[in-house]
Amino acid sequence: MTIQTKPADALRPRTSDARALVGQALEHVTKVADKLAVDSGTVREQVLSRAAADGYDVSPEGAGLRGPVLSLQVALGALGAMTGSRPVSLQEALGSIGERTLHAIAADPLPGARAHVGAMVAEYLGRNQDSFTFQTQAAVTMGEAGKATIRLTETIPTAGIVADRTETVQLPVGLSLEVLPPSARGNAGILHVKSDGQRSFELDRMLVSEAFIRPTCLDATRTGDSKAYLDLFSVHMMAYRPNGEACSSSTSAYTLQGALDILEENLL
Amino acid sequence: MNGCLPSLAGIPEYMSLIAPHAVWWALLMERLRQVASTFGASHAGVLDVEVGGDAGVVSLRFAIAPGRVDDLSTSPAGGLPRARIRTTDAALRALLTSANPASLAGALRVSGDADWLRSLLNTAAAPSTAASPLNLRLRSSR
Repeated sequence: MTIQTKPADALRPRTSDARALVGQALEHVTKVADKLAVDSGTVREQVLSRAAADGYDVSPEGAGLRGPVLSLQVALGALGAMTGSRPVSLQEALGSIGERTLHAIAADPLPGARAHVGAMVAEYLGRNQDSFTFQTQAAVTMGEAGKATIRLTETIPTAGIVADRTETVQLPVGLSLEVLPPSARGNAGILHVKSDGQRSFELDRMLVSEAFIRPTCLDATRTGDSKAYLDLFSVHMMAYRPNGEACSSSTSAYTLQGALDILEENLL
Repeated sequence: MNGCLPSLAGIPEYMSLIAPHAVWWALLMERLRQVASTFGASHAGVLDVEVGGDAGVVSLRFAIAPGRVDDLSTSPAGGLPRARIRTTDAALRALLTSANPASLAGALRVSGDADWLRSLLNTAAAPSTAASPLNLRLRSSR
């Protein structure tokens, strides 16, 4: 595949044309790639070849240009292209990158421990293995007026305890909570919500390893879909008849309290 | 990034194919390496970055240890992250090119130990100190 380039004079536009030109160049290369049915990786290889021919250091040894790692030299060139017609000096770029990044960060609004567990799971699945055992242990203390304090400890055996959090929830009227031994499903069926004996409900943590190895779920997580991301750590709810037959499907919620609210609204 | 406005001449057009995350990462790594000598044991930790873009999701990672920064983007080493960033190439492009950095808040979502990450970036954002003989002596005596 050949990537066509414009003559040098064409790369000397007025400032107002600069961004459009960069966009056109990208569009052009994309069209070429589409036409030849090559993947983006092939295009990248072509780009690397061209960069090397133009004297840029693209060797893996020299900071590399494989994957996310660019040599500073190439990064500065790309930054110049992004900023339209302004060339950016090394001193200027390095002097502002920390400040710009600092301005841009914001703590995730998700509860810290839960989000952090998400990071750990992604870490393990993305780099180390396809799945892993993720254990949840719970302790429940019943309080007055239907309040229950639940401590959840999340453990990855190979990493130890990765989250330890305590939540206080308001139970639906007439229900209480108790901790169950691990369920027959192999999951940590941890919380059992009892009613008057006619029905019982189990609040269950999703089996994280199962959830993550489902491609769609993994994809949703990795594209930053916050709902899917949260769901993986939500409470999964099952309802059974006294004979053990499931009488209701499962649902999930973002928090323990949310699950209990859904239970109250839809199942009781 | 203030500066004059010269022409695009000399900037190969294929540079537009370099993803913003690659540029941001290269610059951030270099800057952290510049200030790595100020990092002590309390700064140690691993940062994971997940960047979504047209080509899928890219994972980046670095580890801070006393006096050093290691880019682990191509290695599974480093253990569990102390913090994690989720962002997109579009957000990083804005980060790199915006004329108003204060408007960038929220472009990078941080979970985990956000205060740790802020401390690293505060160090990176601080003006560089000239490498005078006295500075070098102070640095070596830490």
